[in-house]
Amino acid sequence: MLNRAWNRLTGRILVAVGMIIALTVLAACGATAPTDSAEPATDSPVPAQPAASSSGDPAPTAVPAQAGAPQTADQGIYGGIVPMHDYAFPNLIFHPHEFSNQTKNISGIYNGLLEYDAETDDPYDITGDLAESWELQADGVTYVFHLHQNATWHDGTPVTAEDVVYSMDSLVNTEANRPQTLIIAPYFSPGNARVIDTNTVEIKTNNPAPDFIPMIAADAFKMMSKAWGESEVDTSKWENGMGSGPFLPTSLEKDVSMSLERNPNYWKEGLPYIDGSIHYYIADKGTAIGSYRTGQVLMTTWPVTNLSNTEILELQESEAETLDVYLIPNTSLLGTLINTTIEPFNDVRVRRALHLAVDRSEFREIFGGGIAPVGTPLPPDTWFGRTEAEALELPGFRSSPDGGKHQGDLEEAKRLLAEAGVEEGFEVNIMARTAVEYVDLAQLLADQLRRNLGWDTTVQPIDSATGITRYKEQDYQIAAQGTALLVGEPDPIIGKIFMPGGLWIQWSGWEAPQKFLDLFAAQSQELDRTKRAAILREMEDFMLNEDPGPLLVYYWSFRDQIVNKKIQNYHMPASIWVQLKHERIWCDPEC
Amino acid sequence: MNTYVIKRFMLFVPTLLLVTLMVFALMRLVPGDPAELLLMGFEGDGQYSAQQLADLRAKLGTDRPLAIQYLDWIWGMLRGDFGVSMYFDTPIAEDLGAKLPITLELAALALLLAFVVAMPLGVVSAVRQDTIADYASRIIAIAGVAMPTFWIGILVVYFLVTWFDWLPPLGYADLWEDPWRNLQQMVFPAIALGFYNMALIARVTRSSMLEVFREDYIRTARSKGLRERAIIIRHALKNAFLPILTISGWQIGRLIAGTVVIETIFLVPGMGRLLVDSILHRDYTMIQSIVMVIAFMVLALNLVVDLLYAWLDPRIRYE
Repeated sequence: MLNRAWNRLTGRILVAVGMIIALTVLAACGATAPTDSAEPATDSPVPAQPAASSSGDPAPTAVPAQAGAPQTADQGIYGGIVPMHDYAFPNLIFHPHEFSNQTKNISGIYNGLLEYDAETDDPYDITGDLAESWELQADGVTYVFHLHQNATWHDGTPVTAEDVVYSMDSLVNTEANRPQTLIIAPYFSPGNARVIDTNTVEIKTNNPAPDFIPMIAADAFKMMSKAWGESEVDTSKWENGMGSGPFLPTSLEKDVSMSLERNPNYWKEGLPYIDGSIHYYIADKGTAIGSYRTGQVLMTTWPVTNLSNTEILELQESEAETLDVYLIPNTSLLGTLINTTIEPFNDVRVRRALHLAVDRSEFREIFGGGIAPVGTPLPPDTWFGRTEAEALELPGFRSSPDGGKHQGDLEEAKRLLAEAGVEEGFEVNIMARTAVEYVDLAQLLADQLRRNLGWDTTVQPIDSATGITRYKEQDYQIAAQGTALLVGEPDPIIGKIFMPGGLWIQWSGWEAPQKFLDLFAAQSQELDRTKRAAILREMEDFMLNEDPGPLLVYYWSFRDQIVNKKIQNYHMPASIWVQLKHERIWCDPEC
Repeated sequence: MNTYVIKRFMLFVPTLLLVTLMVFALMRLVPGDPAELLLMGFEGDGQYSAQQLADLRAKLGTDRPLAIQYLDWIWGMLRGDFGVSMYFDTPIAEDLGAKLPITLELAALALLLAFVVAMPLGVVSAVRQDTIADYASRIIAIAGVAMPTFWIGILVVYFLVTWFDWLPPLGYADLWEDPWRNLQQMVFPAIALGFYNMALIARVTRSSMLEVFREDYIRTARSKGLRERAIIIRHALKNAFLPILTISGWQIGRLIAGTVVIETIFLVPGMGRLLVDSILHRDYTMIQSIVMVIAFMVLALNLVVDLLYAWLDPRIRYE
C-alpha cells in the first residue's frame, strides 16, 4: 500500500515539476505587457464632470471630461491613476498638521491658504490656493486673505474664514504634535488670526516676517474644517480625511499602498486631471529602480527617495528616454553633527579644525554626483549665499592645484588641534544611523580624518531608532547627519539647522553665541532683501571665521523627483514639501 | 510512540517560554523608547511635551515594571489576545491573520519549487555520476548553497528588469481572488527564497542516492532484471528520502527566516516584512507576537518531521 502511495506521489511530483516550470515561464512571459502590470489594483473611478464654478475664477485650461475614456483637452488630459513610489510606509496618523512625512500622502486631500504655483517654471512663485488674493497692510505685520467664495469641504459645506482661524491656531498648537508647522511660531501666535467676514481673514505676525508667506505656502500648512476638527471624528484616521482638496482618501493597505481618488465635486473648475494616485511602498533600492525602469511607478510621491544623488543620476542616464529627474537644490544637506558637550568638541578650535580638514570635494564627487553645491553654512548660488566660485576659494572649501585637500588648510587644522591639546591618534567614534547614506558618508569621513589628521577613527552603524535615542542622551561624539528643509529661504534653513531648538542642533548641545542670535533676529525682520542679504553674509562670515557651529556641512544635497515622461505639466518644485497636491498633472499617453 | 509524542509536546511549553523570555528581554535591552519614537515620527522631527510622553507610555503600558509587562503579555497570549501594535495602534491578531497566510504561501511555494527542482537534479547527478550532467548539477547546487538569499533576490530582480523589462505587479493580489496575478507576484520571490533549499536538497539527494546505490538490495533488484527507472524511483529514491526529509525539516525554519529579506525585496506584504518594519519602529508587541508565531511554527514543523520518520522508516521506533 505504501509502495502504491509512493508511486502515485512520484508521478504527481513529475507532473507538478512540469506545471510549475511552465507557470514560471508563463509568468515571466506575462512581462511582455508592462502596461498591464502597471495597472492599479483598484478600479479607477469614472471621471466625473467637474463642479461648475460659481465664482469669477479664471477659465480652466482644460476641457471638462466626459465619463468614460480619457478626454483630450487643449492642454490637459483627464483620466488615469498614477502609480507613485515612496520608500517607507508611514505610521497611521494622518492628521493634516501632525507628521511632516505624511504631507506627501495627505496633501491632495487638503488645500492651503496659499501654494507654490505648480504650473510655472519659477519654483518660488507663490499663488493663492484657498485664498483668491492677499495683501500686506502698511504696518508690515498684518496680512489680509480673501478666500474663494466657492470653496467647499468634501462634505459640501463652504470653507470660511472661521476655518482658517481655527487651522492657523491648530498649526501652532504647542500642546499637540506639530513638528513641521511650529516653524512659524516665532512669527505667529495663537489668537493672532481673526475673522473679518465669512470670506476674509486677517493674520498678524509678531514682527515683520518676510519668510512668513513662503513658509505658509508650503504643503505642510493645510487648512482644515473647524466643524470636523472639533467633532468626535478621529481626524487622524486615513478614511476620515476630510479636506477641501482635489482628492479623497480611499483604500489603505498597510505596508503595501494607499490610494487617493478624484474629488468629483472639487471646487476648482476642471481640476484635477488625473482620476487618482496609488502610493506604493518600495523600500528596496534595486526594486525601486526596477519599478521606475519598467514603468510600474511613474513618479515619486515627493522629491525624496532612498537613492543617492549618484544613483539618481545613473538612473537618469540609463532611462533618459522615459524618465525625467528633477534635482531640487538647497533644500537638504548632508554633513556631520558634533556633540559640543564633550571634550574635545566643546572647544571651538577643534570644530574649526574639523571644518578645515574635511575634503568636501570628495564627498560631493562620491555622493553628490559631482554637482551638489558645496557645503558653506548658507547654500551657495542663492540670493542670500555666496556664489559657488566664491565658496570654493574659502579656507576649508578650497582645493590644492592637484585637486586634493589644500595643504594650508590642513596645516592650520593641525595647528588648531595642537593648540587645543588634541594629538595624532585621537580616538573618535562616528555614529551612523542605517538610514539614507549615513554609513557610507561616515566611512568616508573616517578615512579622511585618518588621512588628514591622523585620528584613529571607527564607524559605528546603528539602527535609526537607537541613534535617535543616543542623540537625545547626547551619547555620541560625532555622527553622520542630514536634514531636509521646508523651503530654501533663510529662516527655514537657519532656523532648522543652526538656531536653538532646531531639529538636530538641539542634540548637539551647542549654545549659539549672542552675536549669532542677534544677527538672525535682525535678518528675519528685514524686509529689504539687499539689506537682509548683507546681514546674512555677516552671519555666514561669523560661522566661517569664529564659530562654525555644531553642524559640519559637506554639501547641499539635491532632492530627487523622478517623473516618467508620461506625466505632463510637472514643474520643478522649490522644496520637498511643496506642490504635492498633484492636481495639475496629467498623463499623456494615458496612465 | 505515544510516549514520545507526549514528551515532545511537553517540551513545547518550556521551549516557547524560553523564547518569550529571550524576545522580551532582547527587545528591552536595545535602546529606543517606543513612545518617544512614536512621538518623534519616522524622521525624528516630532515635538512633544513631557506630559504627552508620559500619557503615551501609560497608554502603551511601557511605564509599568518589566515583570508586569511580561506576565501581562503571556496572559494575553494564553487567552488568544496578542494585544495592539504599539506603532500602528491596530489589533495584532488582525495583522497576523492577514500577513501569516501570505508568508506561508511564499514559504510553501519556495519549498515546493525547491523539491521539484532539487529531487530530479540530485537523482540525475547520482545516476550520471562524474558526467557533464553531474558536474553541472553540482555547480548549481554549490552556487545555491554559497549565495545568500538576499543576493539571489537582488539578482532575480536585476535579471527580470534587464532581460524582460518586467517586475512582478505591484500591490498584493490575494491568491483566491486573483490567482494569476498572485502567482506572478509569488513565483519569483519563491525561486529566490527556495534556491538555497533547492541546492541543499539536491546535494543531499545526490549523496544519499549514491549511498543507496551501493546497497545489496539495489544489486539484487538489478540482477532480477528490473527496469532502471523502477529501481531508481521505487527502491533507491524511497530509501534515500529519509535524510532528505531530515534536512528539509530543519530548513523550514531557515526558509521562514528568509522571508524577512525576500519579502522586502519583492514587496510581498507578509509577516517577514512586517517584522522588519516593526523592528525599525520598536513595535515591541508586534515583534514579540511575530517571533512567537515563527517559533511555534518551527517547533511544530520539527515535531511533524520527527514523527514522519517513523512513518517512512518502520525500523525507527521512539520508545
